[in-house]
Amino acid sequence: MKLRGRFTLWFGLAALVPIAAAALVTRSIVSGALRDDAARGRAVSTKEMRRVLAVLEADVESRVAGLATREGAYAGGTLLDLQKYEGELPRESRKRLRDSGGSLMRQLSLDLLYLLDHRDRVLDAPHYVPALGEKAADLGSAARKSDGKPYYAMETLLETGGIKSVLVLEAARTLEEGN
Amino acid sequence: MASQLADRSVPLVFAIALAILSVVAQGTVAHGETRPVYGKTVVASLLEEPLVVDPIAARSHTDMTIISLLFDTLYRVERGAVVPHIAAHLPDTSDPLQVSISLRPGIRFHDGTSLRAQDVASSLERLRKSDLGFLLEGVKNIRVGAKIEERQLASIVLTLRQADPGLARRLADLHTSIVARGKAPGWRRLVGSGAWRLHQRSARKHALTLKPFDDHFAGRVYLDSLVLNWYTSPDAEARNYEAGSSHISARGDIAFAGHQPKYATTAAQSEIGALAYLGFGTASAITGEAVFRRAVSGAIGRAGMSQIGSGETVSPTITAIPPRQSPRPFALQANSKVASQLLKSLANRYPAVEAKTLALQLLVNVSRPDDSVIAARVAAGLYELGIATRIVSLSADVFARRVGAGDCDLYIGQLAASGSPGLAQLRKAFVVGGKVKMANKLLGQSRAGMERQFAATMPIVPLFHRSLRLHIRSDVKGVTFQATETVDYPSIFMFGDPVKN
Repeated sequence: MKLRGRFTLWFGLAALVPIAAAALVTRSIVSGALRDDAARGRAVSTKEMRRVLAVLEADVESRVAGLATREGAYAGGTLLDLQKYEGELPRESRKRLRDSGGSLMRQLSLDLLYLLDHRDRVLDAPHYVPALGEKAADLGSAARKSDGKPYYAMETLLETGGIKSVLVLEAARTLEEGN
Repeated sequence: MASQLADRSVPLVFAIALAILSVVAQGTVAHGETRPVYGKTVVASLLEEPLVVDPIAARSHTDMTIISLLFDTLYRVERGAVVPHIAAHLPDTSDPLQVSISLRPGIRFHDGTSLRAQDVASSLERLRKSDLGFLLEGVKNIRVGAKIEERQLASIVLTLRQADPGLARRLADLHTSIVARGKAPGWRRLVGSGAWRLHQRSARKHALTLKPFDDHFAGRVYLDSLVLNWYTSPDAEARNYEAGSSHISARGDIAFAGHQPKYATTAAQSEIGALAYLGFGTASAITGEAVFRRAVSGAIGRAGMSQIGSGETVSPTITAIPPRQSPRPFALQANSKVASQLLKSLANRYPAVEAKTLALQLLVNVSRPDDSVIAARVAAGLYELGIATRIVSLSADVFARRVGAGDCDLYIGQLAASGSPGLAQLRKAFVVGGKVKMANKLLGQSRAGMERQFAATMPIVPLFHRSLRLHIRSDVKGVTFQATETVDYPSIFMFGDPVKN
């Protein structure tokens, strides 16, 4: 190799080392900053999401608490009917439930609404008619265990032309007749 | 004196005559109000849009209702007993293998032509050669017989393979209705011999209008007109009835709980009149598999199906045999675990089963509003098996065309009770499921054998049996059901004014 060539090579190499070092340092600084930003953003988002979910949870909890009262016609009236008719709702009561369930669900902006009897049989499910009259033991047990505290679950919904499974935030309560 | 007496007697006689006239007149008015009167129109309903007027092609409760109005059978079942209808007598079984049936004289079709023995023989022969041929099994030959007795009644002769004491009862089945020249009738130039004749059928107005056939051998019906509507939304019929726009409703008397219908109402309920079932097309190979059908049947929850309808008796079932003949209790809760295991056995031949990517179309007749709810329950069962279902509502004619051609995966069907005794209903279930040969092969099999065969092949998946519950306005009288569980419209009459609630 000629002298000119060797000079070129060595100067090139000498220049490359600091350039590479500078690039590595710069990358480390930039990525560190981005990581910090992302972590900060994630923390903010998580916090915001938790806040929104907490509001939503409180909202669902209070709506279910408001529904599951002896004073309300939907649940309280049904409870009375169950007592009156020895656990079997007459046709008139079932019709009343069907007439009111759908509109109640819409008024309260709920995506699903189940009303079960003491044997965990579905009395009303305006969002999912296939459940009517069927047993929903998991929902009954959730109501007994959770005592109105909200929880997340997968539920099936009936949509135009088919059925789909979605993650929902739900709350469930039990209601008893007594003094 | 005599003249004086005569003069005096005039006002007396006149007074007596007036008194008698007055009594007679009062008596006539009172008497008239307790008797059926002719005239007026009754607006009632059908369970779906009517498409079929051929007795042999009739399958649904609506088809059977139309057939019972427009056509006649040789015999009828009244209060459990077989009575002659267009036959003059019960079958002459002096030779048990050559049964002779004489016909009433003077029976006419709606176009004025006479109903001849040849029409009867041809109609029965057509049935014998049809998918429902098993209804006349044991009949080797049908021919026109010699004129009978001094009254010269026309007759037909049925040659049997063996003595058949149940023949007259089977000849009361609506599928054996007599049609002109034994040819399949259609809506155009529809001619029957029944108590009613077709006046108008309007798909746009969802209404079928019938007028009395004045020359019916049993006499003219009371009403001047009968309008039968069908509906496409679940509460439309109840709304109509509640508002006082119809006289008879088969889907409830009120649209909302706590309401009252405009007019005072009575109710009448039939025995089980129809079977709702899940049928299968040929668009997907998997739906033809008996294992698939059994899995689907097991996955469908039927317990809640008793709540379908508007107050009529609904008996969830897994068999096509009506509950009166099949009182055994069934497991009506879905068993998705067992059903999934059954379905898995098909996974090697149908990879979509394992991958849970199987998607099927479920057709629903829009003129049977309850069927959408039934379809949703079926879809829920299929969902548990990992099968996506798209429910498609179709107009009655498109639905019938596609189901008839097998151009679908699944459909919700309805099979009417035909009134035939024994296991005819089970055999009809084979026919609607496309297993015609099997239906005819079941001759002589025991009930247990037939049920085993049914469970093994699953031509259809039975869902529930239902009755018909009618809400009847107070001014409509005489509503009864025939043995076929169709409404006996010829016996209906109007009386007085409706009582307002």
